[in-house]
Amino acid sequence: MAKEGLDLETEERIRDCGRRFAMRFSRAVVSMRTFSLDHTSMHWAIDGVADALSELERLVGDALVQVEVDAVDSAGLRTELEGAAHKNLRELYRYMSRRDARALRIQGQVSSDDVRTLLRAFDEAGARAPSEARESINRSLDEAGVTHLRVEAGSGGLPAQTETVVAPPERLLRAWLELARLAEDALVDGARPGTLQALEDVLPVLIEVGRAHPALALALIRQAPPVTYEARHVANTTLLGILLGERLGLDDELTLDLASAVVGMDLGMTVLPAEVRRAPRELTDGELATLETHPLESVRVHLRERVLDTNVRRRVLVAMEQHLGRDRDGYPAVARWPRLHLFSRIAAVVDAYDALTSDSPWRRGLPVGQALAQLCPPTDKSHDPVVVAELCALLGCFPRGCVVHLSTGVRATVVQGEGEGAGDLPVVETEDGERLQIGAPAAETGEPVAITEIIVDREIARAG
Amino acid sequence: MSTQNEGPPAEGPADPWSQASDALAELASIVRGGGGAAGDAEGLATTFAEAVLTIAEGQTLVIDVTERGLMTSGRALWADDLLARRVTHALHGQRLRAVALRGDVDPRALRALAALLVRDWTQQDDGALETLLSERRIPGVELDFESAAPEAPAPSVGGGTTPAELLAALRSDAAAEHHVLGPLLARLAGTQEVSHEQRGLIQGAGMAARASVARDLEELRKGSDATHDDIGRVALEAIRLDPSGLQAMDTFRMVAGHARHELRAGAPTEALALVGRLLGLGAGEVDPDWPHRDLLGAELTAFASPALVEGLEDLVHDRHLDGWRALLFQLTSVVPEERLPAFVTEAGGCTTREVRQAVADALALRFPDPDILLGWLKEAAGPAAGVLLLALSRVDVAASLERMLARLDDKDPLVREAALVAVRRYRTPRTQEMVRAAMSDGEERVRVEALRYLCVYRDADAGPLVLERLRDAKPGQVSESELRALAMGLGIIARQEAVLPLTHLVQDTAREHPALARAAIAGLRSVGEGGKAAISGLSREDAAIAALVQQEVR
Repeated sequence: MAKEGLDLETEERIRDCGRRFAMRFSRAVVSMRTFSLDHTSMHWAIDGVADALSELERLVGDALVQVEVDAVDSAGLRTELEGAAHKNLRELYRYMSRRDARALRIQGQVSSDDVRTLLRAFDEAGARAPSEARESINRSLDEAGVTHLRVEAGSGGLPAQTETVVAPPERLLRAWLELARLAEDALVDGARPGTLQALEDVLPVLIEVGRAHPALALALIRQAPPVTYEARHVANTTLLGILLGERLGLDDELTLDLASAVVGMDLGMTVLPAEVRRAPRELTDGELATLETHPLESVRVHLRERVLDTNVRRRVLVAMEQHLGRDRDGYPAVARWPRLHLFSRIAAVVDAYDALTSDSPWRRGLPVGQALAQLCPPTDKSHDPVVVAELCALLGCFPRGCVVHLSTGVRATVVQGEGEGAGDLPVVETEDGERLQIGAPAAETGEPVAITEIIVDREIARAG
Repeated sequence: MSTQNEGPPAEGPADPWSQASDALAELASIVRGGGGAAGDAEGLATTFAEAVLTIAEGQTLVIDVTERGLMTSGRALWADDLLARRVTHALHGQRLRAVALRGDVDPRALRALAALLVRDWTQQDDGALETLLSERRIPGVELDFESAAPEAPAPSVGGGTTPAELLAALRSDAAAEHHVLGPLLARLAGTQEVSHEQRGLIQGAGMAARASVARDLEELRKGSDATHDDIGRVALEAIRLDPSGLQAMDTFRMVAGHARHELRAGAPTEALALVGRLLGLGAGEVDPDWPHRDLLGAELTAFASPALVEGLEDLVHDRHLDGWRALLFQLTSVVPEERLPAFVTEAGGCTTREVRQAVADALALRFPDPDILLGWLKEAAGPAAGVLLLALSRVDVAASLERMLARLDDKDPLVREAALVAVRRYRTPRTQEMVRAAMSDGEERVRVEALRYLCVYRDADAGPLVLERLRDAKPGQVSESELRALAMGLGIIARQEAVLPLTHLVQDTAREHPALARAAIAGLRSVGEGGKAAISGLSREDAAIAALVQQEVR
């Protein structure tokens, strides 16, 4: 039911402002420990806060954003956050509570410099007693001429109940659908400046739940909701990329960068005509030529960012490289190119895997094993065999013909390994012709036979 | 520039189809803020209007707004360009399907129409265009809006339910009953995580191969995996391979914007990494057959403007000197000639000699005929003259020595300094006499440069002059660096004959003027063995002098 005087769309936008404020402000507060306010990593957070507050003020006029432990109230509309965002919200609530300043009143348009002043004021007030801190913040704002921002006490006290626990499947599904929704909107409206930011806001939940519950994440990828292919593809590749990133040893920050690069790698597709993107048949040469320009457009989307920091540079590289192929025989037709970025190699694999296993307008998706077989050497020469090997291990599925090392110390070839789930373990044949079921006890030791390594041609792997 | 427009080849009078297409494309680029270069929007709108009138030939003309772009009678007016598609997509969002132009439509109406068509309507509410036109009609122009609800887009495989609908259902209390979400959530909830034992059976798979990515991981952790040079490489290929020249220039402007940002942040190496290859592309070094060199040349004109190096003085720091040298050298090589004087003047204002010399060296390479530089010098004043003189110092222009010597009297100390550099390769009595006179210049940089000349030629007549300057130097009057230069210069010029006077200087000034004493010690060291022997003797004699020697040696 719409708040009195507001239509549903405006309500939604107001809630979105509060959500964005909370997420960006909490990110800025955390980053302040590591970076200066002028560091390129801070720009995104600070600009996001300024945009959110300015939009709120435009929508409502004299607006109040109140941070609560379990939700953010923007101009009288309560918005609950989820997952990692909720955790950040709780931390932000504590941070602001220590300064007795849980609410922010906005009475004019807010610039990035205003936000920097506010952050400095909050930081300095941390050295004071809570009873003095709020006054100190407002005084600092006055001295800096930022009279259109004021902190207020807000409602105090932690609520008695603990946070509402949302089960992982639902949390993951929500994040997946949010990503799909944003991707679909981008395809309809084009990639606007806020598109990437909105996409990135969803990533922390995907990373948190996906890494904690990889089987759940893989199940969701396999049984993805029946939305448009493009929307599903963005969500699936991002989630799969996150899982692969963890297997390859990426930490949280790098995983976020990887996910950000994967989610934005095909934003250039948004300017292609629908009849090319959704052709119910194989594309003509002319249509292929059009399609092959989309990396250039994706590059342009990322170059529009205000600051060319490390995250943006990685995104640009992935956008350009993800279809180049290991031998650079893909597209676009670059003259010379060094070793592909690791993120690009991961992006290429997850992109190809999801495309192979998804139904497209002109063919049905392949079973997992057949798709992996197409990605493995020697059939495939385009994709990084190391990343493909990790994908096989992640899925627990080994294409027939895959060469592996066993825990018994011998090499073997997979002769039956197309299972899609945990219970379907491969069967291998050693060089002596002996067939072994993985998991069955070894003859000599009685220990279950395990795969210790997928053998990848080292020369091919080094060439990247 | 649209690459796929049909139409007659451009021979003889300009082809109105190409004119209309190019004008509209350029106007769209300006209106939508694709980059920093300003254009004449009014002029472009006029060009479009005139071209359309030529095409219409007084008849009614219908322009269809299609997914390809703007078409008329099945022929592309502006189409098959990514920007055209974006524009028509935005117009479709406003439900505009066609525009009908009456035969007698006024050119002013067409100009207004052009501006209207290229505006970014995705930033406006639905129906904004129709509302605007209901308030302000354009005479002679009828816009056809689709009144019925737009067709649903062709369903993609797996479609039929949108993510937004599913999200709304998921957030409601009825998710479990939803025909899609209910079963899906149930299946997901039933997903079993792989047991530890089972995970262990395939855990090792891939792990050994992970060593292959160790180098990548190390670079990622250090943040050295994605550099500005990488982006420069991407930018080169993205621009070179873009079939649309206008799109390519849009990309250039974005990269140039980032490069400017790096310059303002005092990071010239990063800036050069972004644009260096593009400068080469514009100069025809990378791909001589690239069809958009003229367009890029225009963009480079805008980029390599004097404003780019404005404030150079504040930005240049020693630790970035190499980066600035490289950047300015490369820029000077490609700045269009008509922009060069202003560019050189701006760069010439930087007091850091190495930076000015970099611009000068690029000029010397670019104009190997010294008469060109000399002709320019004749008209030039101030910073530009200084840079030209530094450029001339790299070439043999003995015949024009007098012209350079005349600049030793210039009111700008940077010019006087540069003139001394320029005449360094010439040893004539008159030159030496004028350089000795420059030893009394009011500016230290000029005096030191004069001294350098005298050292090169070991001008014995200058020895007494240098010594006199040392003896007359009172504490605080002459900088320590100049004192050192004078003392070492004396050592180079007079050699062994300098040992005695320098030794006396050390003894006489060790207590009252230690900076001069240290400088004299440096002078003794520059003499060689004789000087070093003198230093040893002095150190043995006097503990205070020994301390100064220690300081100097350190």
